[in-house]
Formats: sequence, C-alpha cells, structure tokens
Amino acid sequence: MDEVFVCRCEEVTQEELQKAIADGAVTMNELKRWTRAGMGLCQGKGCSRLVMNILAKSTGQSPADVKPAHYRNPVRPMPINSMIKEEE
Amino acid sequence: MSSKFDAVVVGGGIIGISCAYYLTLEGKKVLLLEKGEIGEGASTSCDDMILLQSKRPGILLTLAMESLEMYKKLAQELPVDIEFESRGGMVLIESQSQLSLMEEFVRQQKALGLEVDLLDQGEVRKRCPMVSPHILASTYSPLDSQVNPMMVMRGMLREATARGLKVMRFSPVVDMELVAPYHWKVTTERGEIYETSFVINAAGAWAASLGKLVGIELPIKPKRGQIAVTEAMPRLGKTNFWSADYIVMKLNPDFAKEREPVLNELGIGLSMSQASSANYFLGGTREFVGFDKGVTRTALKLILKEATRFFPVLRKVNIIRTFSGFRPASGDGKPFIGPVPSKPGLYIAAGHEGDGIALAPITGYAISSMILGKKLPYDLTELSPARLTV
Amino acid sequence: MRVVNHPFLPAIDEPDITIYVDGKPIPAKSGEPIAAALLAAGIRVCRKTAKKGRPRGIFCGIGRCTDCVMTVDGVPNVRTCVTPVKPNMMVETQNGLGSWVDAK
Repeated sequence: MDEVFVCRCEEVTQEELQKAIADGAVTMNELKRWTRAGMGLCQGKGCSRLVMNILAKSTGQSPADVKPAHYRNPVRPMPINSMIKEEE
Repeated sequence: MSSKFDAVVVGGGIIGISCAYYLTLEGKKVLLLEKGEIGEGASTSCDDMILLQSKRPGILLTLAMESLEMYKKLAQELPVDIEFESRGGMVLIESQSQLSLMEEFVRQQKALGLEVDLLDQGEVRKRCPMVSPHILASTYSPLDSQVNPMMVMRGMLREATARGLKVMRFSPVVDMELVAPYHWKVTTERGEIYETSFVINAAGAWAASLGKLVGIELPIKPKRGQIAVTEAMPRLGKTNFWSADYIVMKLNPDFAKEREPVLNELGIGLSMSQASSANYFLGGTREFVGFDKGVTRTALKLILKEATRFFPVLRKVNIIRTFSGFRPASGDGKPFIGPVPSKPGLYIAAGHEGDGIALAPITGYAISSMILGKKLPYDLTELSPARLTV
Repeated sequence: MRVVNHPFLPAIDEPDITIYVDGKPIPAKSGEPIAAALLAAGIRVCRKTAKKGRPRGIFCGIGRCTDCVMTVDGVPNVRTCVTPVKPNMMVETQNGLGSWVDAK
C-alpha cells in the first residue's frame, strides 16, 4: 500500500498517526509530540487541519471542536540575524 | 473501571510515567492521574540532554550514572525508538581566566573517575570547524547523552498499559485523604474517588500544590527556562555544546562580574543540543516568574546572541519555534525521592529541576523498589522528604 | 510559462538577468520569485526530503508550506516562491537538510 503523507515537512504518514492514537494520544499536542507532525519547517500550517480530522474521527468529536496544538512564536521561520539586530 | 489500586501516581510526566512503568513491571495495579495532557509539564518543554560531565560528586552523580545505564537498556527494551545517543559534550572556554578554573575542574572530575578531558584550540577546531576562532579550549566528555523524552514516555506507557496501567487524562486531583496507614482516598475534579495503598506525588512544578492537599509544604517552585528551536540543520560539531560561563560562575561567583548583568539576572548559560530530528535547541534561562509560560524578547535576543558568538554561522539559520518550560526547582538542587514518614503510603518523586529527564529511569525504579520493600544499592537519605519538617 | 504576446500589455515578462540553478544558467526577470524562473525553465524539483529522499517542488506557492525550499547562495531552506531573484544568484537543489559549507 502506498504511504499517505499527512505531514509533508516531517514525512509523517497516516499510519504513524493512527499508531500514536492507538497508543493513547487524544489531543493535537500529544499527537504532535509522538509523531512530529507539526514540528517541521512549516510548524503545522500544512498538516494541522488534516491531523485534526484524523483525530476527530478517532475521538468522535467534530473537527471544529478539536483543540489545535500550541502556537508559538515566530509565526514563520526567522533568520537569527533578524532576531538579534539592535532596534533602530 | 475498578476504583481500588495498589498505587496511584499523580502526574503524567516522565517521572510519573517512569514510576508507573516500574511499578507495573512488578505486577502492581497502578492508576496514573494527569491533570491535563500526558507530559504537558517540563517533560515536553525541555531540551533533550543528559548532562554528566559537570555533575558534582555525591548521590546525584551516582544516580545520574546509574540512570544513564538504565537508558542504554531501555533503548533496547522499549518498543519505540527513544533516540538515545551518547554524543558527548564540550564545554567551550573563551578566556584564559575561565581556562584556569576549568583545568582545575576537569582535574577534580577526572579524580572522581568521570571520563572528561581538556582539548586545546587546535583539537576544538578539528571537532567543530565552524566554532568561533576566539574559543581557546574546551572540555570533552563521551558520557554526555541525550534522549527523546516524549518517546520515552510513549514507550513506557505502551508497556505499562499492556501490563494493566490505567491512565486518566484531564483529571486534576482535588482531594487526598489518609483513611488509615497505607489506605488513601484520592478524589479527582470530576468527582471520581480512587482507593489505593500508595500515592506518588510526581506532579513536578505542581507538586507543591498537590502536597498542600495533605498539609505538606513542598518547597518546589517553577524555574522557567526559555529555548529557541532552529530549523533542522546539519551538525555543527560532533558533540553538544555548553558555554563555560555557567560552570565557572558556580565555581567562583566573581566571574559573574565579567558578564553583562542582564545575563546573570536571567540566569543565562548557553546550551546547544541537536535533537535526532536535527533541530538545535538553543537555551536557556533560569528565572523565577511563577507559572508565566511566555518567551521574552530580551531573553531570546540574549540567548541567540550568545549562540552566534560561539557559532557565527548561526546568524543565517532560521528559528522556527520558541518555548519555555518550568523546571521543578526544590531550592537545594536535590529532588525529593522517597516516602513521607508522617503520611504512610505517600511518596514524593518531584523537584528534579534540570535533571528530570536524566534521572527519570532511576527515580521510577527507586520509588518502585522502596514501595516493594526492596533494598537499594545506594543511600537515598539525602533525597528523602523527611528532610522537610513534615 | 512566461507571458508572451499579451493582447494589450507590453513585454512585461522579458527576462533581464541570469541566475544559476545547480550551475546551469537560466534566465530570470528582476524582482520575480525564484520559483517563477524555475517554472519558466521547466524545473519542477526543488529538493529531496531528508527522511525518504522524495522529490518536492512548489506546492502552496504562497510561502507557507516550505515544500519549495532550496539552498540559495549557500543558505539552505530558502522559500523560493517568496524570495526574489538577484543577478547571478546561485540556487541549488537541496538534498535533505542542505549544508552550510558555502554560506557567504
């Protein structure tokens, strides 16, 4: 069977997400910590909706009710140079 | 689900899960109560390091070495890849005055039997060609290791669950009653009551508020550490890195005067470790700010400036995430591992500060052994909760 | 994929500079994203993934998905869909994490 990639950045497959759910993961944060889905360069911009849908199916929630994983700064990749510049 | 257990572990972080793992290994009926998500405390908001070369002699060094050996076995035994690696560590030395102090420090550590050496400038450049040319020397120890705490928790949970562990998430404990010696009633926010012979307080930064439920004053406070995470990138050197700053300041407080005051206020000591996913963790601060989980612009800027001072190439590397976590700081640098004499059946396994990941296996094993009445090959009196006046 | 013979706009898409992709010169228009020049030259693979070596290219095109990242002037993980070209820019197909050896 072809692999179905859900998180493109970290190359996490649907199967790996299902395995984490089988291990007891019930929230977006828990899924992220156990599979790395959402930890890549785009920080979940690409996959979070898909993962929420997968999680919702297993917990019986509506996808709209699934709490998203934590959002943290920066909102996009920032070169360290730009973060240590002195204020003008 | 039955409401009678041999042990109830309060706290679903790496310490609590380790306790549950070793207790179920011994056939005990265990319930794990977690107030929120598994690992939502320091266990998932830390870097992944098991630092050994700078540990001072004593029970903590003994336990850390023991725990390291346990990780090597767990890496084989657990059904998931816990990403354990002994990559080694280098403490980078910038000045002659730091060097003199570090030479003496390395001598002392070697005398204890710790594998650690001093490298000169040439040897440092060989191991990490991208390090700043101003680095004079560094230590090197092959002992320093790392692991993925999230996968450790996952592996331990899977095994323990297969042996009967019950896990309740989103179940804060609101009451604990000592009905009779070794007979406890634990009540959760949802009104569920569980009876058990043993209760283990493994609530980390929240251990103090749990202790209050039974009138125990635990001096455990959250000590915030801020971390910046880089994009996945090729290795900067064979090992993980620390700046000598923090160690020399502990050895000789006068060194604090050589740094900008704000670095000392925030307790900044640079640490750089690369996860097996190839992201670097750049840390970190040591601040007492209650449970404020924010990341501050000031701290971030300072940490990143330190990092680029040691590795100028980092200037062009992207930061993709920042976060902070609460180390459960006990005040005297020692965790509480052991029974509370005045409350038969109550155990504390909390207050590990920055050593929680490193000491998780040995803590779980020790707690389980103590509960089963098994003798341990080392004396844990120094870490006993009896050192509090309870 | 360049605009040619537009009904009423003048020659708006004429390449005026050169960039180098894996050493090969390709034409580019000042100010356009690297990805536009790549598409015009028929280049669709930007990188190979770190874990499984799979080819990736432009996916979202709006700077969010990071599938289109390449090593540009020695710096890995540059989003080609939102980074403007510069004359003689060196763009390389990124293998996994890329490398920092050539960073200017």
